[in-house]
Amino acid sequence: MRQVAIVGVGQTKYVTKRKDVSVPELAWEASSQALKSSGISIDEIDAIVFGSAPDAFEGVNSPDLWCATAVGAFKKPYLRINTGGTTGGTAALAGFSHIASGMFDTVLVVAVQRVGESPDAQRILNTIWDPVYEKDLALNIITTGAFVAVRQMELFGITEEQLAKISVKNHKNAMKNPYAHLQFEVTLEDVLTSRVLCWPLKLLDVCPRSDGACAVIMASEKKARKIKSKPAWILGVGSITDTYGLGDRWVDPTFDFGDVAVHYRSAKKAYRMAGINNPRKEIDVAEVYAPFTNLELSSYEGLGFCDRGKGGEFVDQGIADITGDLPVNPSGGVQTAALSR
Amino acid sequence: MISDLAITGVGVSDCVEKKGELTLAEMIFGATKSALNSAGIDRDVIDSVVLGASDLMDGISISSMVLACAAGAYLKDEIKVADDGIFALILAGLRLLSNEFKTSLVVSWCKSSQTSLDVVTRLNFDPCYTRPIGLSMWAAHALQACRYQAIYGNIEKAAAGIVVKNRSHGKANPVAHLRAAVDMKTVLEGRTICTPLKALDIAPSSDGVCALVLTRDRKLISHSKQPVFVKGIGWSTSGYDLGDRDLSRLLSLHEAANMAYRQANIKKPFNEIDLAEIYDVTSYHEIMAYEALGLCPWGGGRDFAESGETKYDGHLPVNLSGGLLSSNPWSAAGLFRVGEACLQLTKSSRGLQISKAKTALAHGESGFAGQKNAVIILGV
Repeated sequence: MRQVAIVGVGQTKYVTKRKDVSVPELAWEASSQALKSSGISIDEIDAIVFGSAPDAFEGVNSPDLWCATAVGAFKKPYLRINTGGTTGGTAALAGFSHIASGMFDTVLVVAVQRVGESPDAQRILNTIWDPVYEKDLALNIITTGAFVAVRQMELFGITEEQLAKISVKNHKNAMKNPYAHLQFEVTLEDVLTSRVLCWPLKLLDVCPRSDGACAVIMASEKKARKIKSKPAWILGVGSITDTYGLGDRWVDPTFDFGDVAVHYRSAKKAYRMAGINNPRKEIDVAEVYAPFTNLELSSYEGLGFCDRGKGGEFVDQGIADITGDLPVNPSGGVQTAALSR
Repeated sequence: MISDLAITGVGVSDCVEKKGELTLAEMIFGATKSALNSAGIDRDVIDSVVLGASDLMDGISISSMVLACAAGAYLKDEIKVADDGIFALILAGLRLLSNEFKTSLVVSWCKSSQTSLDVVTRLNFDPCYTRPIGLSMWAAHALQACRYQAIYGNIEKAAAGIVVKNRSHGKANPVAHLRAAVDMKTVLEGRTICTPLKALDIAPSSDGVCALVLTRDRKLISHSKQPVFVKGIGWSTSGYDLGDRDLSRLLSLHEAANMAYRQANIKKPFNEIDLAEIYDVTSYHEIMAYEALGLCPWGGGRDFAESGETKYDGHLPVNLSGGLLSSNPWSAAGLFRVGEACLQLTKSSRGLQISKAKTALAHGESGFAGQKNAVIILGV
């Protein structure tokens, strides 16, 4: 397989509502920063991948078309990915395939989300459920996240304090990230006494809704070595889809609902490709998509940073802290800037 | 090598105005299952699933979440392109070419009857500048047709001829949505939707699902009864604002075609291509596509259309399936073009069938007035 590297990165400052720019302008802000950081011009980009989740957030059908000129897609191959919360990640996977296929040498991957255009993000997210059987149950992302958390508590004895510690860590990390949306420190007590949204998840366990965009430039090995002396190589990728039905995830004998099996399964693929046998030892830092503290905790287990059911201890030992042995979300993570990451 | 890629399974559902008896998931399952059956494989062989759909048409945000498993994605690597399904085929191809995967399901759907295509596509327009003036998909296509006619002269009759041609092809296709042939008089006297587009110049809204099995696994290809090889894929983009474009030409289609022709080593498309499935979302659009695809010179679309070369018995039959003017499962319509072209090449067409076809062209697009275009060259 062709080697693929990342040679440029651009992000916007995440905020509740960017009133000063349109969606295309927001997309260009991140794209132009990524180009600047790579030192190449848009003319040198062969193809573009656009990522954005539900069109309803922006209130525009196919925002990729709207942003086409702004992200420099004119006269270029261009397609849009939408896989919900994983959109940023899967757009990157699509960009990876563009280069690894041998058809392109440079690809701009840009993901945009402007949740601030929608009056209530959770009302829109309620429309992801089956329209006949489940939508009317007022299910949303937070309530289902809480289902997982309850199961984690029951299965592994995870405590609310352990979840709160993750929030404290992420908020502390975000203080040093100028792009982070939420920039304030919180104490364990702040998290534990914050408003319960859906037990055991409280306000400070949950990500904010942010406006923002992120872009990366990917390049083939030959091109990457010309652009950067030390490009970041993509060593392994993996992605897995589980069943939609929450109740159906109980039938898998290998994993419990509380395990978030997709963490295990996708990590296994990526590690195999990268030749990683002991993630805990071989990985130096991790950025994980975790809109809720309990999902960051389950990722520790699924990604092999600790044994199954030991996520709570992993937190207590401070290994994921910025000063720890395997810092997780040094940027502050999704908990301090949501959705387009 | 792109020519390592082969389509070994085709599941093209029937198209109807309203598939009342099946849920969208059931429709998707049916087409997916028939693609797997036609490839002669089980779901176990699949290692990648690429979907193409529109959240707003589905009325479900992140619709792949609810629907992916119906398309065979349970515990597979699955990704959704929020574009016409033809772009899902392109991404699936890239993923196979990169050696990440061997065999992919490509599934695209549209259940237009659940929502209004007109309302959804109006949301494509800029909320500040173009939406308030009432632009719609048809208005954009009408503006484009007007601009074309301002430069190259009136093509009203040639466009009506396209409707007559495609609807007569559709009449022979038992799974097409509109199955009544129409005559020139009826088309020309149709109600005006948006000048110069009349009622029959524009595609209907249909329910339908298309699923394909795309593979580069040599064993699967050699075991396949009728593999269709991918010879070229090309896609390109125009600017968003209508005012930024030369509306008289489908330039991104031209770019996409050239990219695909280069890969397929096609120099004279009219001579080298045996049949084409073109995204005829309006009759005028098919004529403009002839030019962009290099089948005739710029401005030569009317003469080319009237020459009869694109009819069933012509040199290069276009839209033997009936095209979008007969069936338009909107967000899947481009992938349907690929599916129908495959059925022709493998002599499995359910409607008109031409006897000697080696090379076919399939065209899909997304965005109003042809903003984003994709071209696939297929061969047996």
